Amino acid sequence: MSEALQTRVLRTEEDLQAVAEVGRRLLYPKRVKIKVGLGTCGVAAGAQELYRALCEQVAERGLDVDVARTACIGLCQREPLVDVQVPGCSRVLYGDVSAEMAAELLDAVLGDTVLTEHVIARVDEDEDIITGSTHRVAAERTIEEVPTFAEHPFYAAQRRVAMRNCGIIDSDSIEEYIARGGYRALYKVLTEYAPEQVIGIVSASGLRGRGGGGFATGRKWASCRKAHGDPKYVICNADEGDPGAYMDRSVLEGDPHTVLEGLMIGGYAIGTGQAYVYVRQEYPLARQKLLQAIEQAQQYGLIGKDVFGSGYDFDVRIARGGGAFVCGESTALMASIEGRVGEPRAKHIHTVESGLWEKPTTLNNVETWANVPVIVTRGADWFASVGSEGSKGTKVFSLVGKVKNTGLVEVPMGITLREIIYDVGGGITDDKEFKAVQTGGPSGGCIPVEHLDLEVDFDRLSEVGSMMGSGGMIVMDEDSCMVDVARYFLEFLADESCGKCTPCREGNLRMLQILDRICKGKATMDDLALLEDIADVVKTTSLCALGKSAPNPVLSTIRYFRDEYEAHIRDKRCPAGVCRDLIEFSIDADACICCGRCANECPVDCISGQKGKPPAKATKADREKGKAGRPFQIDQERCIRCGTCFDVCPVAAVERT
Amino acid sequence: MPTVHFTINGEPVSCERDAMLLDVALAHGFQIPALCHHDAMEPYGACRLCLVEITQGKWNWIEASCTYPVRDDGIEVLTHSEKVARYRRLNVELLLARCPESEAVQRMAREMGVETVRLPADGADKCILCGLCVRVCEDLIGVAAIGFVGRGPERRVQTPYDEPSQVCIGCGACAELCPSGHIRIVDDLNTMTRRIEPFNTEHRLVPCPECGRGYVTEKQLEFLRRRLGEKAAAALSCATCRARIRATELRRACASTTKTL
Repeated sequence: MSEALQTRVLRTEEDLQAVAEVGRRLLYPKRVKIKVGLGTCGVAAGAQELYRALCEQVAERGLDVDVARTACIGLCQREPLVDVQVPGCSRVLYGDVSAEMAAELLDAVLGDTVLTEHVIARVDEDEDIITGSTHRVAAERTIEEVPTFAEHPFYAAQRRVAMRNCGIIDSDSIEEYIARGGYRALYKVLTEYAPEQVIGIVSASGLRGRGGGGFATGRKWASCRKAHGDPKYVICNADEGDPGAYMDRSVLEGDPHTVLEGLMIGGYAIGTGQAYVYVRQEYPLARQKLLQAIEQAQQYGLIGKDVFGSGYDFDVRIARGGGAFVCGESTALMASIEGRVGEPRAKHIHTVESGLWEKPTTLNNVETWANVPVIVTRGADWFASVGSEGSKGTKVFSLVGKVKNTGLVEVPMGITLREIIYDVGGGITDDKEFKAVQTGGPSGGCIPVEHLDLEVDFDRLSEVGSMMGSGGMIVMDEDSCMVDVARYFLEFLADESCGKCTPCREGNLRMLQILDRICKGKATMDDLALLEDIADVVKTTSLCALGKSAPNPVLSTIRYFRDEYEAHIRDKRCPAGVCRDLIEFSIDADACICCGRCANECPVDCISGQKGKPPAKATKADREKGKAGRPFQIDQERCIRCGTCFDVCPVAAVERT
Repeated sequence: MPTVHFTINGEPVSCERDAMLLDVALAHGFQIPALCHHDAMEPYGACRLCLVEITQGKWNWIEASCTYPVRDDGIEVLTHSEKVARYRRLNVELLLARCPESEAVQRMAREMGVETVRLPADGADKCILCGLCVRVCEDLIGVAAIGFVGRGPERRVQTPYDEPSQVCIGCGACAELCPSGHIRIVDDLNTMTRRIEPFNTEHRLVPCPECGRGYVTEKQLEFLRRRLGEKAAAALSCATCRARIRATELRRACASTTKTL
């Protein structure tokens, strides 16, 4: 590592090459390298302990093995993830590796075997998306018994562009980033292109903002370049607030330099060297990685005065958000950076003309910025060759909910929902029926089974009443009650509304109250009409995009699952058996085997009976000896309808009605 | 500034580019209801009652006119279309449920033909959160004694930590602008105190040197002196006495002019 620390200001392509060489030696050392996925997702699953255990083992045994860090490798379902690289050999990804397995893993690696039960896939060749070249990892030997990433269903349909370095490089190492083509795009832009040419390339690529709106990035930059005002600003929006979505966090944790490089290219294009990254307080690791990346880039002269001797100066600051969902909205975000309360304003004067401190400002989100360096080096045509008619490139989704493989997936635009859920996601957990998929975060819509073959892009998703949003994707199965789902998201939105405008503040609250009544079986059909009226006024007259999209969960569930609403209202019945006030648990006395597990597990002790042989099987002798049981019964008055008895009964004698 | 030509309810109207639509419409005599708008302050866009329907080519949408800068020739604005009436009614219904006691909202609801409120009228006070008080205090007076706290349905106007404000000068501009009757100035001329309700700040009143009535708070007078210097002398007596003094002066001046003629 001492080599890496001797930094100097980079001026030429040769300088960049020299650092890349250092990085390559770190990436592909001449000894065994074990990388642990230490993104927030990995850490939560115990990767930190595993990392420590591996380090201790290596030190104790005096092994010549590199134990290294990387960030999210993607298949979060199988965290902690470990990537093992033996020189000249296929690299192998393992999942579900606990700290206790450290010794076992090392033994297997040194003994030239694989831990079959934990193997996920192998890599023979690393693709460098930036240059289009490849690096042969398995130069001497491929491990044939392990499937390749292309053969693994979770990775087969994926195309990693924005996340090209995530899980491959150590995000603490700028050298590794440069080894994978990092800062080449910046060099090219600063030494070869005029700002207008950069905007031309980005426009031609068809890149649209990944933060939700899907606005054409090139057009945004062009308007900002044209706008009058000095200084101008570029901002990276890393205020990812959607529950269950973490793609921006993973990119920042796994590859912070790509975001910085993107910002620099964007800044050069619109004519400014002043940048901000707005990161939410809840992302401490992302912020720390970013700060470190900035420091490293400064040491190499990539951030500062006269970058690559081009005369371009660049400075970037980090602004911390307090975690309000509304601060992801551009005007609220800028108000927050300025130190004011994060509330949106009407946007008829666009932020590209009057944004941060009323100066022309370009705001794009993490994923958008991460795509920029690739577009510059590979060209607009290359980028536009991936994707659908109106949406080019790839999109990162956080695939969560009732699918077998949850995690971060980056797929080409235009892929169908079915492919994402059934191929990448591996289908529904426990092979239950698919019911709906919620896309676009809390204010997206729920898409039902009839649209499973929908091609996922910005336009198709809004046509069916949902949206791309920042890429949340929550899969629901037959056990999800769609009214309850709408209520859940609305609860979040009502709470996160800033409260400035009437429809969003009052309307979301009233919709929530009505949904509450529906779930309790206390609503009438008039309430449903009122719910639709309020959803309409909130959508049409709210001030900002939070309000305008807040009714989406309600509107889309009414549109596709009206029968469920009516069942709750008319029949006082929850078809999915979720809404507690509308269900009842009872035990079928004939089926009960008198094992007593339900009574043991019941948290409120409302189940009574006698353990023993079921009455039907008990003989007279059993009865005389007191060995006969009495079927268990639930006291409905005291039952809280948690469903534990239903889940634990070994013979399905508990009925839910 | 270039001029933009367009129509409101079919009538041709013109204005400077980027003028706010509500201001233009009101200046041309069109009636548009609004609760968070005030001529002296920046447009805010909170109450969503000044909605209008705009048609531009193939596009047609509902817009809050207070924050809409008129930029394009030929837009067609409707201030009282069926659509506009529907959305205004719904927003008033929401406001009325929040503050059933507020006369201003009741009146507006009556005018818009809202007969029954389908929501539980469960709001605790009269505040409609239009923000006029907060904005006048911060932007025009420059004091910022009150502000919004809480988010979403929890939002309310309050002094910091709900304690009596240290910076409030008791000028009462907040109450003056409050459209809903939520904020009130309560002067007690016996004890010479002023309370601004519901912010629980109390002030001592200064008697008018002419008539002895309490007319200004000590802090306000101090504030005026600091801000206006010598010009503050104009505020050293109450409004009634000031008018009387001016009238006397004027009468004297007129009398002397007539004499010379």
